[in-house]
Amino acid sequence: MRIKINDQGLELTEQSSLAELLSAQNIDTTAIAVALNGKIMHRGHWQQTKLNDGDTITLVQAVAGG
Amino acid sequence: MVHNKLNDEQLLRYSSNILMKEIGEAGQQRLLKSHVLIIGLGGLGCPASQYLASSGVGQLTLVDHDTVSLSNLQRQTLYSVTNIGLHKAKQAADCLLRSNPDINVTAVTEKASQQNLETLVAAADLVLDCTDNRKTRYLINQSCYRLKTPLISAAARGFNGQLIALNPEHDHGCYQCLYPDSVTEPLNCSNAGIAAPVVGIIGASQALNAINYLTLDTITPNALTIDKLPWGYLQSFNGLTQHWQTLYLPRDTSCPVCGGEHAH
Ligand SMILES: [Zn+2]
Repeated sequence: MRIKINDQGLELTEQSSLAELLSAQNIDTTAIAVALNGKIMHRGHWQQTKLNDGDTITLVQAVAGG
Repeated sequence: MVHNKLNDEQLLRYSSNILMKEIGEAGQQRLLKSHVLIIGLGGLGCPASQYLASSGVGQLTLVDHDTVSLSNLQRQTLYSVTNIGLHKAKQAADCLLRSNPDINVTAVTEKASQQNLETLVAAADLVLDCTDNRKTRYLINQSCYRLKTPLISAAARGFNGQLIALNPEHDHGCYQCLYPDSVTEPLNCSNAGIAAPVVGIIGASQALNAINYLTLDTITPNALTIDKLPWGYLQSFNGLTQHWQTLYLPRDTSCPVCGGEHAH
């Protein structure tokens, strides 16, 4: 199964959830928004969201400056 | 709504707005009758307030407790060296009124707090969040949702800018849904740097969203009704690739601010 994280391709050998992927990739999830195929996924749904072939994941770091 | 007729000077001053069918004389009258609250008069608030003042938004309220420093002048284009040490809100108001004495500008030099935001937001038709810290961002989001006032929230750091138009009457998520962690303060402009044109682009986008909202927030080409604002879409700009990314923010039904009674 092939997915994309922030425009980088990644091959997944086994079925995984969004939460498992973020953890396997050692992504610090404090102050980030995570989107799946253009839609932001709330934290409470990361565990139950299963990834599919061709999924695009986008990580957006919070910025607060102005 | 009853509109006062524009006088000759206004017809000339705002002629470039009036010439466009998307604004026209009716849109200009709406702008002149509008009240926008701008919180934060730094790198975002300078361009945002400048374009709203010059476009003829009739009442602007500028909130900032900070004073101008030399390092602000890299991107905060309303100020000059003679303003260093003086309140940004007051200096910005003076600068905007020099360019357009046809509008009213009120400067508030107190720090935005839960208490004063209730009164300030209640008086406004629209709020622009141009602040430099997350604590105030959460407070502004809460007040806007409580009072059902639309909010154009923006932020920038380094070469990255972010913008989201939030309408409490719509069923998308809010700022709290977007970044639910309220604990950590990410890097801001003063400790991480900021590319001046990037914050300028984002601040100008806030002004464009505001003008689109205040004139008529939908257009109807071919009898279809289209929103002139991308309500609920986080727009993220990368100044190094000059690429805009758009992500939809659904409402989190467990959100303490917009979930609960609003949940669908
Ligand atoms: Zn929310």
